[in-house]
Amino acid sequence: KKKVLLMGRRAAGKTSMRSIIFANYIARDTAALSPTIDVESSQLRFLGNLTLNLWDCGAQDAFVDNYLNNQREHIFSNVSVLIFVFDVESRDVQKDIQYFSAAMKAMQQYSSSARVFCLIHKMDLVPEEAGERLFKAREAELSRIALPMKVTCFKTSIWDETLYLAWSSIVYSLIPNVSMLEKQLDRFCQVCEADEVVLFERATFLVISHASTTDHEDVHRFEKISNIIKQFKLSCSKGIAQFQSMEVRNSQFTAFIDLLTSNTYVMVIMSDPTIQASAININIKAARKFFEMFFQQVPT
Amino acid sequence: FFNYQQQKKALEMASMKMLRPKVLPKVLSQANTAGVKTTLLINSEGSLLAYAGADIGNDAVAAIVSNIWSSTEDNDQLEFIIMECEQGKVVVTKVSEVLLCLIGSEIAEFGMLKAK
Repeated sequence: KKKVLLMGRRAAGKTSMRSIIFANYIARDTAALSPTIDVESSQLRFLGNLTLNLWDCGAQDAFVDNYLNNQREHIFSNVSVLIFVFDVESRDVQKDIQYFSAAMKAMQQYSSSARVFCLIHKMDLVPEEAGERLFKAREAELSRIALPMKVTCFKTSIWDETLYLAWSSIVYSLIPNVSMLEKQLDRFCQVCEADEVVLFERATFLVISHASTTDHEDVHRFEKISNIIKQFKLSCSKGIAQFQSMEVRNSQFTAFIDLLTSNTYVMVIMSDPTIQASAININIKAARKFFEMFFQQVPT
Repeated sequence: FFNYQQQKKALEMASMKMLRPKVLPKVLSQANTAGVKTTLLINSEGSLLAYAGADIGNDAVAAIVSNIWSSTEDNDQLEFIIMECEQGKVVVTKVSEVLLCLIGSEIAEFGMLKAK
């Protein structure tokens, strides 16, 4: 079980994010969420037998005081990942930084080897250029405050794919044996002679891994695909149809998306139009047994 | 409970039997000489796995040929199906779990198709 802390000041967007990624909310639905009371702890199953113990820490000032003092050890011990969310439009940036600084001191004390991610959120509310400058400045400041611990910063918004990039990176850091997984996926890609192969977690459609034989100029394609397929999957379930697999074909390529293991989806991209779906399906079927074994052996 | 070494060994032993989909058409095209128009590889469900040569509605051909094969397959010892059609000849045989189908023009002869 991996303990993941989700912190940040009130209304920073923590519960909205977690609802979209893990609970099948669409961005519009999150307007209906009310402020989180105290700590909401949820057990999220990810990749079958990996349990994320997500602590969504409500941030009314009284609670924050509680975490940092009375419940300090309880909250900050055994943490694998800390996710700290900053509202880019915050009225009181100093207070945000203070809270972060205090949390980092507690982390250094109880979970100094944890990964720390800082999400600069609600970026849709800021014009692009200004946003980039703001992000860089914030990133520098947070890195400095966190020392000696390292932080990874992301710009995010619930209204586009940036949310998926941040969360993919977060869960990626929690997967055991991930380099072995990547090697095997790479082998699969080579044998299939596919342009690219992408592995997604089943419920969240977060990208876990990818391998390719050809380069592509859009580095943000993965999170865009997560976003698009997730939306499509949600629309399917509204029509009481369970999304299982999809073949998308145009003049440039064919994309095959199918269930690989009980907890993952695979997307295979072929730019050779003469390749038939059934040939790819044979390969997916062969790889399935192997990858299912791989994921079953992930120790909890 | 697996330790890392045991895990690694188990993973290396698991074999993935896969197809190289880009190589298949090249292999099949070796048969496309002397009047052979198209060569098809068809899976047990009637879907086209790969083909080389002219596209004569190959998806439909695959489905039809597969259907003909399974309805004739009562006899386990079925080796070949040979059909003479208006515009050419068809020879089908089973290779491992899949069907191999050669489609020849009017000038192709059955003996040659069968040999291929």
